[in-house]
Amino acid sequence: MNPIEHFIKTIMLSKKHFLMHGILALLLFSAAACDGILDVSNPGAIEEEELTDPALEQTMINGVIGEFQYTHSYASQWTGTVADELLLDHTFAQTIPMVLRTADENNVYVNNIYSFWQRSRASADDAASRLQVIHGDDAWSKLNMLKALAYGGYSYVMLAETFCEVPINVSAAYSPEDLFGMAIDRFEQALEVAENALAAGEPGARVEQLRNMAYLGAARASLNLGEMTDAESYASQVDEDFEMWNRHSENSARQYNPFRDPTTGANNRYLSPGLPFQNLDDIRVPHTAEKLTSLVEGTMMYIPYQPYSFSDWTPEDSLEFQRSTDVRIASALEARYIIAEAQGPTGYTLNLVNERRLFVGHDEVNLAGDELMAELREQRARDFYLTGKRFGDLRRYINLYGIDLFPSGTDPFQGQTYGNVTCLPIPQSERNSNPNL
Amino acid sequence: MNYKKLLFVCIFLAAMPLAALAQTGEIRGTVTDATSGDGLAGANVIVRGLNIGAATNIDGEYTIANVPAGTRTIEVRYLGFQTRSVAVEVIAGEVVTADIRLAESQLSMDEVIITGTAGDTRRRTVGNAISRVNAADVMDRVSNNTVTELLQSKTPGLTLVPGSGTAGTAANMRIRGAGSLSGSNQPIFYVDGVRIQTGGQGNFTVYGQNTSALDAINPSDIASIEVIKGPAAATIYGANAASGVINITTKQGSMGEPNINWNARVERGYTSWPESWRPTNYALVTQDRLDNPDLWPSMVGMQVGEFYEHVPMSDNPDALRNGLMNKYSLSVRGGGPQYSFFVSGSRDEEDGVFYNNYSNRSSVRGNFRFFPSEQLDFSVNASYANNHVRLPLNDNIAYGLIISSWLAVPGRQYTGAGDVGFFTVAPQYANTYNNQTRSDRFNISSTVNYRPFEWFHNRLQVGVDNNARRAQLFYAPDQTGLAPFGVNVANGYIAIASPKTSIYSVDYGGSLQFDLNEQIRSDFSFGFQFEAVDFQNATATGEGLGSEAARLVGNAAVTSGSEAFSETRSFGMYVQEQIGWEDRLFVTAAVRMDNNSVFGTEINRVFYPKASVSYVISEAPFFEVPEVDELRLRAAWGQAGNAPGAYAAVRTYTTLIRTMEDGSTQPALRYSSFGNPDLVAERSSELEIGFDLSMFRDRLGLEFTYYNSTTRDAIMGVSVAPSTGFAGSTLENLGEINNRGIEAMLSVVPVALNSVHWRNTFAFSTNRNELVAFGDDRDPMIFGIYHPVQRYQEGKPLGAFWSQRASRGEDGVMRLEPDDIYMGPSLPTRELRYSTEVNFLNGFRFFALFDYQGGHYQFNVKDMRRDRARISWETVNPEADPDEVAARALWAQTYHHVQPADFIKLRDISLSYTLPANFVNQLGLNRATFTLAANNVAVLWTRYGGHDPEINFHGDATFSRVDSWTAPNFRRITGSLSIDF
Repeated sequence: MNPIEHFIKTIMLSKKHFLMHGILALLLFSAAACDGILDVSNPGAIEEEELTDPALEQTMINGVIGEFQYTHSYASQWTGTVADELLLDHTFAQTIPMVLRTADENNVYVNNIYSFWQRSRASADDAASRLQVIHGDDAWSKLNMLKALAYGGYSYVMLAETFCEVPINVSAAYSPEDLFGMAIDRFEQALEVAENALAAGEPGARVEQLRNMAYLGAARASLNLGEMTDAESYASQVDEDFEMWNRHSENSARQYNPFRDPTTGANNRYLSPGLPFQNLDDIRVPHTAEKLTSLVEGTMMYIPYQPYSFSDWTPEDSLEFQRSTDVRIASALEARYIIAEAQGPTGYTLNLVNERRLFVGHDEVNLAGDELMAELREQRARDFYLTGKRFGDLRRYINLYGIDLFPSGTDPFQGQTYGNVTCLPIPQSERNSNPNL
Repeated sequence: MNYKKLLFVCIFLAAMPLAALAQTGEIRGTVTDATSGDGLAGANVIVRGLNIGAATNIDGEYTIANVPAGTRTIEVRYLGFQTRSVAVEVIAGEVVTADIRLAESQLSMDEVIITGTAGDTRRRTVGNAISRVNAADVMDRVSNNTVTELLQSKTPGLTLVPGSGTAGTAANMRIRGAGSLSGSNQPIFYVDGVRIQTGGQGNFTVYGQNTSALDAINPSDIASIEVIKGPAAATIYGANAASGVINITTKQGSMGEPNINWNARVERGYTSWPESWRPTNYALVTQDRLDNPDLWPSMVGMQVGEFYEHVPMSDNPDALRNGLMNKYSLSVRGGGPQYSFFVSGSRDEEDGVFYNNYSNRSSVRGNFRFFPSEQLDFSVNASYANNHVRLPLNDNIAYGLIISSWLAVPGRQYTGAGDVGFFTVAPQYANTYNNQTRSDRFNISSTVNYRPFEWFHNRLQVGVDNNARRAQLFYAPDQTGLAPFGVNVANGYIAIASPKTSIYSVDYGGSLQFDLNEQIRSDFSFGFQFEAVDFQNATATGEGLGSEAARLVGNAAVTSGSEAFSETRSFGMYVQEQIGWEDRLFVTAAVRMDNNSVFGTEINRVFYPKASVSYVISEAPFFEVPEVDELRLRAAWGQAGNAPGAYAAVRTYTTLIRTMEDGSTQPALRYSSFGNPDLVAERSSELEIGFDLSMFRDRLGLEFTYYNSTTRDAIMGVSVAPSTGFAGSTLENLGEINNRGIEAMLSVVPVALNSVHWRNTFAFSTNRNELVAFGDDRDPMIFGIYHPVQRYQEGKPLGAFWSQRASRGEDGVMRLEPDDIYMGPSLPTRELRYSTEVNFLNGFRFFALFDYQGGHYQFNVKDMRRDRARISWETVNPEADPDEVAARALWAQTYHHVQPADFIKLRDISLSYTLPANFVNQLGLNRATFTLAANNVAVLWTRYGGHDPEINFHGDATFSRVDSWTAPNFRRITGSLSIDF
C-alpha cells in the first residue's frame, strides 16, 4: 500500500471510529435524559396520597356505606343458603357446596363473602384514620367519623358471625370473640362521637340513627359473646322507632337487590325457601303457592316472595323481589329480641313471642323454659328472614346453648348428604398471601 | 498529415464502433422456478468476468446486450434459490437464448432477514434460528381466512390453540411454551416494521370466545412472516419481546423495467359441522314415558326397554347451516426504474354454521417505494380494514344452543323457550341473539433509508396503528313471554362500547459496516425505539326499550355509562457489534436498555444483553464432505423482557355509584388496585444451539435447534390478602419458569424431475415447561371453571391438570378419593407436522398437511355433564361397569373427564391446476389457476373423548383448557380461481 492510500484509509477508518464513538456518547446521553417521555396520565384512578384531600372526604364515607350495603345483601343470600333459610339448585358447580354445607377454602362464594366484608371493614377503618389526618382531634365530633365507626363495627360483627377466624390487615387470625370485642370497641367509640357530634351541631336525626345503630351493634356483639347483661343494657337504649335500611336501586348492577334475579324467570330461578320456612302460613315468609320451574331442568321449587323485612312487603300481598327493594337490616324489633334472648324464658320473652304471633294471625301460646326459647328462636327466624342474621344465629345457638338447627340429612334437590360446616373458613386467597397464617 | 490521411483516419475511427458492434452479440432468456415453472422477477443475471448483466422482469425475462462474442458463462442468482451457472456461445451480431430453471435452496444462507437493526442482515450471520413462512406460497395452496390460520402448523415451536370454530374468534398463540404466569405469553406483532395491536376487539362477552384484532389483516396481502422465537433472538426488541416476535412483511412491487401486473382471485366455499362430529345421546324408553306422550312425543310407537337415540341439532333446520364463504380480491403491482408499488383490495365474507354468526372483512392496501437516488429511498405502506363480526351464544352460558341441545334428554318436550331436543333455548330464540362488533383499522408506516456513505446506513421508521371498534349487544323486547335470555333483558336491552387503541411508534436504526482488514468485517448497529399505546373505551347500557325499532341507548328507560382509559410509553435503545471473519464466521454481541411507564416507581431502567456465533463450516477450506452443500453451526444466548400491563405498579382507588341511606345516588370510594412499586418486567434468558444442513444438491435440508429458556422475576398475579381491603390480585416478580425443547425441520425432495417434483417437509418440536419455583413458600395455586382442575405448582407445567377420582368404599358408598391425581400439562409437549407437495403433469399441484400434537390434556365438560345427566352411552349401556357409571355421574369427580388430548389431523388438503401458458395467453392472461381446497378436513385419530380436542371455551385464555359447550373447528371446503394479467 502506498503512503497516499494508507493515509486515506487511516482517515476513513478514523472517521468511522469517531462516528462510532460519537454515536455511543449520544446514546448514553439520551438514555439519561429520556425519562420524561414516559410520563402517563391515569384519569380513572385516585392514588393513595390523594385520599387525605378534604374534597374527597364525602366520597370516602360514601364508600364505607356503599361497600357495607353491597356486602350485606350479597352475604345475606349466600349465608342464607348455608343456614336453613334457603335451598338452591344451580348448574354452576361452586354453588352446591354452599347449600350442602361442604364449602371449603377454595370456594368462590366463601372467597367473595370474606373479601367483600374485609373491604367493607377496611374502608371503614381506613376512613376513620384518614378523617383524623384531615380534621385532627375535631374528627371525633364529626358525623362522618360516626358513620365510619358504626358501619365499621357492623363489619366486624358480620365477620365474626360468618367466619371461623379472621385476620385483620394480614395479621394472625383472630377468633370470633376477639372480633366481637373489636366491634364493641368501635361501637363504644361511636357512642362517644355521637355525643360529641350532637354538641358540635351535626344533624341530630342522623346522629341519633347512627347512635341507635351503635347500641344495637354492641348489643348483638355482646349477645354473641354470651355477655347477656351487656347485651340487654345496650339493646334497651335503642329507640323504639329505630330502623336502618340497606338501599338498593335500578341504577347499576352493583346496586341491585341480589334476591331479584335468582327468584325471577321461568328458566332462571334457583332459590327456594329452606324446608323450615316452607308452608308456614305466615305472612312474614311468603312463597309461591305451587312449586315452579327453575334454572335446572326437572327441578320444581317454591319461590320466595319479599319477606317481612323487605321494603315492599305488605300483609295483604305477596310481591316478587325488585332490583330496587330495600332491606331493613337493623331495628328496634331486633333490640327486643336481643333483650328477650338475654333474659331467657321470662315474661318479657313470652309477651314478645305472642305479640309476633298475633301480628301474623296465629294464636297466642303459653310456653315456658326451653319451649319458650325455641318459640323465640322461631319467631326471630321469621321476622328477620333473609336479612343476614340467620347464619350467625345458628352458630350462636350451638356455641351458647348446644342447639344445632343447621340443616342435616339429605338435601332435597341435590340428593346428597349435608356436611358439617357451621362457620366459613378463611379462603385460600388469604392463606396464599398472609404470611401470618 | 494531409487531408487524405485525415479522412482515412476519420473513416477508420467512425468505423471502429461498428467494428466493435460487429464483435458482440446478445443473450436473452427466461429464469423460471424449476418446481412451478413460474417466471422469477428480480433475478440477477450477470456475465461472469465482464461486469455486465441484467435483472429479470415480472415474467422472469432478461436481455443482456453488447456481450462480446465467444464462450461466456452467465451466472443467475435469486434469493431462496440455488445459484446456477450456464455456458453460452455468443456469436457476433446474433441473439442467443439461454433459459434457466432454478431450484429452491433449502437453507438460503444469504437470504435477507429482519432482525430489528438497520441494514441488510443475512441469515448466515445470525446465531439464532429464524423461521420464515412464505405467506404467498401458503395462500396459493390452502384456504386460509386469517393470519392465525396462516400461521397454524407452519413453524416448529409455534403452537396455536384455536378456541373454536366460531367465525371471527381468537386463538391462543405460544412460541416455545409459556414463559409467564400472569404476563402475556403472546408474541408481539410488527407489520412492515410497525408494532400493531393484537388481542381482543372488545366484543361483549359471549361467555367464552373473543374476537381477534389480528383478523383485520388480510393474509392475501402478506408476502412473508418471520417468527423470532425467543429471548436469544428477540433481545433487540426489548422489554416486550420475551414471548417472541412475529414480523409480517406485506407485498411490494418490483423495480426495474416499467411493469404492471394484475391479479384477481375469487374463492367460494362453505363451512360445515358434520353430524358424525357430534355425539349421540340416549334415553331409555319406559312405560311412564310412553304413558306421557305430551312430555315424550318422540317415543311414541317405541317399546319399553329400547333406547331413543338422538344426535344434537340434527333435526331442527334452524339450528345449523352450511356457512357460505366468499372471498374476492384484486391487486396490482409493478414499478419502474426508481419506484415500485403494490395496491390491493379485498372483500371476505364468512358465515358460520350458526345462523347468527358471521365474520366479514373489507380491506385495502397501498405500498409504495421510491428510490430518488442511490443514497436515499423511502416507502409508505398504508392499509385500511373494516371488520364486522357477529357472535352466537355458546360456551359457558345456559342459553347457548350447544348446551341446550347436548344436555337435552332425547325425545323429551321441554317447556319455556326450550323444545324437543333443546332444554333451555330452541334455535328460533337462540338465533335472535344479537352481539356484533365492528372495527375500523387504519395502519400507516413510513420508512426512510439514507446511506450518506456506502458504509453508513440509517433507517428511520414511523408508524401508527389505529384500531377503532364499536361493539353492540342488543335484545329486543320479548314478545313471547318466555324471556329466553333471562328476565333482566326481557324488556329490551342495548349495550354499546367504543374501544379504541392507537399505537404510535418511532424506530431509528443505524449501522456502520466496514472492513477492518481483508478477512475481518465489522458491522456496528445502534438505534432506539419509542412506542406509545393509548386505549380508551366508553360504554353505555340501556334497559327497557319500548320497541325493537328504537334501539339507541337514549331510547331506554334506564341508562348507565362508564369509561376506561390507559396509556403506556416505552423507550429502548440498543448497540450491537458483529465481527465477521472471511464471511463464514460471525460473532455478535449486543445490549439493549429499556424503560417503561408500567415499571414501578422504584425501577428506572433495565438492560438486556445478547451474544451469538454463527459458523458456515461448510465453506471452510478443511471441510471436504462432497455430499454436504451447506452446513452452518450456530449458538446464541440472550435476554428479553415481558412488561406488565398499564398501571399495574400503582396502588389506586376508584369511585362507583351507590345509593345512600337517604335514597340519593352519590359517588362512593372503592378500593381498586393494590399495586406494587417494585414491579419490573420479567426477564427471560435463553440459550439455543443448532445447525442448518443441506445435502445432495439441496435435495435434503435439515434445521435443528435445542433451546433452554428460563424466566426469572416471573410476574404473577398473586392473591392480595383480602384482609388488606383490596381484593383480587396484584402483580409481583416472584418465580422462575423454564422451557426447553428441540425443534427440527427436515425437507426432502425424493423426486425432482421436469415432469414431477415431490417435496416432503417434516417439522418436529418438543416443549417441556416447568414452574421451577414460586419464589416463596406458597401453596399451589388452583383454578378452573366448573371444577378446580388446573394448577400452578412447583415442579409441574404451568396450568397442568389434576383430577379427582371416585371409588366405592367398603360401605358401598361411591365417594371421592382424598388425594388429587396429577394428569399432565395443558399444552402439547410434542408436535409433528408433515406436509407433502407434488407438482406433476406440468400444471397440477397436490398439497396435504398433517398435524400431530400430543402429551397434553383437556377438560371435557361436555361429556362430564352428559354423564351426569345419564344420556351418554357410557352411562346407559346395560353392560357398563356400574361402578364406573356411578363414578362418572358423581359430582366433583373429574378423573374420567380430564382426558388426553393427543390427535392427528388432516389439516389442509388441496389440488390445483394452472392452465397452460400458451392457452391463457390467447385470452390475454399471464396465468390462471384453479384450486380445490379443504381446511380442518378430519380428525384422523385422537385419544380425546370428544370429537376434537383442539377446543377451548375461552379462545384466547392463557392456561384454561376447557371444552365447555364450545363449537369445534369446522370443516371448510373451497374452490378458487386466480388469474394474473
